[in-house]
Amino acid sequence: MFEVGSFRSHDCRGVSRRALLRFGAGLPLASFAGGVAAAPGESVRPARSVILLWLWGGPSHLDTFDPKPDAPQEIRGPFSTLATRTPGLHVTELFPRLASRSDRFSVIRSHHNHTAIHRVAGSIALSGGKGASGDSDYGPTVGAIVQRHRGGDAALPRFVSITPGPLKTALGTVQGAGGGRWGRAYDPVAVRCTDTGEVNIPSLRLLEGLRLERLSDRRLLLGVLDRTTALINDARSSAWSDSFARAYRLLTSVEGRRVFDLSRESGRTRGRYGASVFGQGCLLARRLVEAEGPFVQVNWSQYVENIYGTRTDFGWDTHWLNFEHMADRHGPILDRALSALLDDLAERDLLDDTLVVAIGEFGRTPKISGNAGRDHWPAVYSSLWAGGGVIPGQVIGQSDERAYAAVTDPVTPDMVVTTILQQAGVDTEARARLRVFEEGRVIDGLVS
Amino acid sequence: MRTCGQGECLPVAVWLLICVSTGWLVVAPVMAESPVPLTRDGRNKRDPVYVDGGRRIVYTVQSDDPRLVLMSMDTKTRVSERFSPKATLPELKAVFSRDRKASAWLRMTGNDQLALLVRPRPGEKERAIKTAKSVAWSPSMTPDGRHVVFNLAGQLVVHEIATGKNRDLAKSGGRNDWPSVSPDGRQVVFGSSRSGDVELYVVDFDGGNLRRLTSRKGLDMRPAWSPDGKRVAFTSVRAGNYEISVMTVSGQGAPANVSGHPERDDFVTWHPRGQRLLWVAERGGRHNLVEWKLSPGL
Repeated sequence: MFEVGSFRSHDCRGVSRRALLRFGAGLPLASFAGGVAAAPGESVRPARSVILLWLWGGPSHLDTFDPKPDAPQEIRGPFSTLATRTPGLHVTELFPRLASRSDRFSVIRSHHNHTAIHRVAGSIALSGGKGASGDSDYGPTVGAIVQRHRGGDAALPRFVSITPGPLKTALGTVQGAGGGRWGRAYDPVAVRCTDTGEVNIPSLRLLEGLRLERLSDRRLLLGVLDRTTALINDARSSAWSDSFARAYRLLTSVEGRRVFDLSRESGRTRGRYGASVFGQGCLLARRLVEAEGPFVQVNWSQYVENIYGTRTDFGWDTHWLNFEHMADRHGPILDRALSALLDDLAERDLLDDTLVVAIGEFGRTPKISGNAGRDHWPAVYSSLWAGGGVIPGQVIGQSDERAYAAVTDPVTPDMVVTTILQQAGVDTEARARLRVFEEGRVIDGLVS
Repeated sequence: MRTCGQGECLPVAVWLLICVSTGWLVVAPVMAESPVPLTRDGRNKRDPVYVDGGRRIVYTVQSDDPRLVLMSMDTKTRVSERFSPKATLPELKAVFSRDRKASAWLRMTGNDQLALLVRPRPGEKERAIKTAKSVAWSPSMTPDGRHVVFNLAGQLVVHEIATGKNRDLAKSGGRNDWPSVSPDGRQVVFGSSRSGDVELYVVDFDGGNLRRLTSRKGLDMRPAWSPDGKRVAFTSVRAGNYEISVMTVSGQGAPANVSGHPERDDFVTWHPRGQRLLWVAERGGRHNLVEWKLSPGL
């Protein structure tokens, strides 16, 4: 149940906190995609929605989708490989579910980023930049561009980031994770989702001061909301941020609240995705695209680090314990959640209209370090693409026999962003209008 | 017909085919009693161990804050409480001497900082085991509580608590991990990729007499020595699925797959009186502790 006041969605098995108002019971899961129709003269979009699964920290390409079983021991690592349904595609034994569903997706094995610094590489990967602008001046991310292109004033935010918090490393916050130089108006609406499926919207924290859950009078609450609405309507003279305004609009929309209520899913469906922050986030992403949300980014973690004291949320930056965390958590969680997402979308006839991309900012060193981990490696890495016009069952690109470099044409971040934009309907003409990636190149052979 | 009650299931015929093709002796589909769930919250769990003669279970659970918490469960009432109520940092992987007086566990203290802590006796102040580099993982304590064996950068290290000295154990190429000390304290079983694939090995506590226990494709990891010293239970990844297997230390007979379920079974340990196994079972995406009474003959 999605609750005003605590903004929590509870497991079907029980509600731990008393809710003041419970919205949306018995209402259909409505579409509120106003403004998404293609502009005159624009080509038909293959993908109505995009789900970007952001594997923050940089997954090892060798331990996921580009294993090298014939490489020396200090490179190949301890994991065996599994054959898939795709000729020529083996994955490590940590991904049996994905192996049996490889006819639903394609893998790119020749990505190349421009730097090995997380914050910069992350900004570049999300925005498609060239890496020349340092750590502070970034263009809008691909989600922000899709959001602007789709425009309109619908209740459902056009760019939602399901994330434990703003993307960070131990050195600071990532600058290029939203609107960039377009401004914060194009930042995503951030939504938190826990491993138990509780959902909250951090930008609505201001309302928490009202202690809504202590109120017992529905009329009083509605009065509070009305006054808040007036503040929103007078946003130019208020301190309310754009993201707050969008989140508030979501809160006051029955449909919006309903989308974020994971307890409306059956226990079986929730279980398919797994009891993990990422798994439940993927389920929430499916609900968002079912309601025709244009762009949903699911962040694996807030921090890149896989060990970080109280901030630990197990990012993919596995300088230490690479193989332990791959076998204990990362592999099984990703395998289950991503497989469930692909199946669920396909079963609901949503996969053809939804582009799913799972990617991080770079790969990890082929040679295992003295710490029995793998360090940063932007020279080559892998990703997984499905739906939304992607030709499934392919392996695009190739790394060398020890996974040090691409031996085929490298796929750079600007190509990734251009391809996502193209598939989301931000075609050449639209990109020219927005002055982004006018010369952008779509990844060869990936999409129909 | 399917082999599980909920979640993602494989038809029995397909499941049997996988098991036969991978050399498993399938026990679970014909076992008389199903594993008994001890928890029901479904949150991610790991590393359970029995303490106090089986009256309590200490395990690690995913939490909101701190992110990993040690819990202690009364096996009679099945009520769990924080093992270290005042802990503010993530803690995991607690191990104990046979009399429970000595203990060791891991604590995430900062950016890429993981401390292996020991407490030689109750009431004594904890202290961190000093290591030259990297972070420690997979601690196992000798039954007498005098040593901790752990994985440091992919190699096994034996730490003597009284002197604070470390020594290597069974050093090799590849990675060595998941040590488990035998009940008599004379041997260590562990997983190693020295041969390419991750297999189980046994070595004497002084580092001699290394021998290989398993020889099958796929991860064999997290071995746990039975209280009678004759068997090892471990996680066996076959065709990508995590299963619990049991085999004799003498190497006689094929490993028996005792979980036999298409979802994940992992982090196995033995009841101090034997004939009962405890592990973390993922069913329908939810992780719970389950206990299972071994069939006679296993």
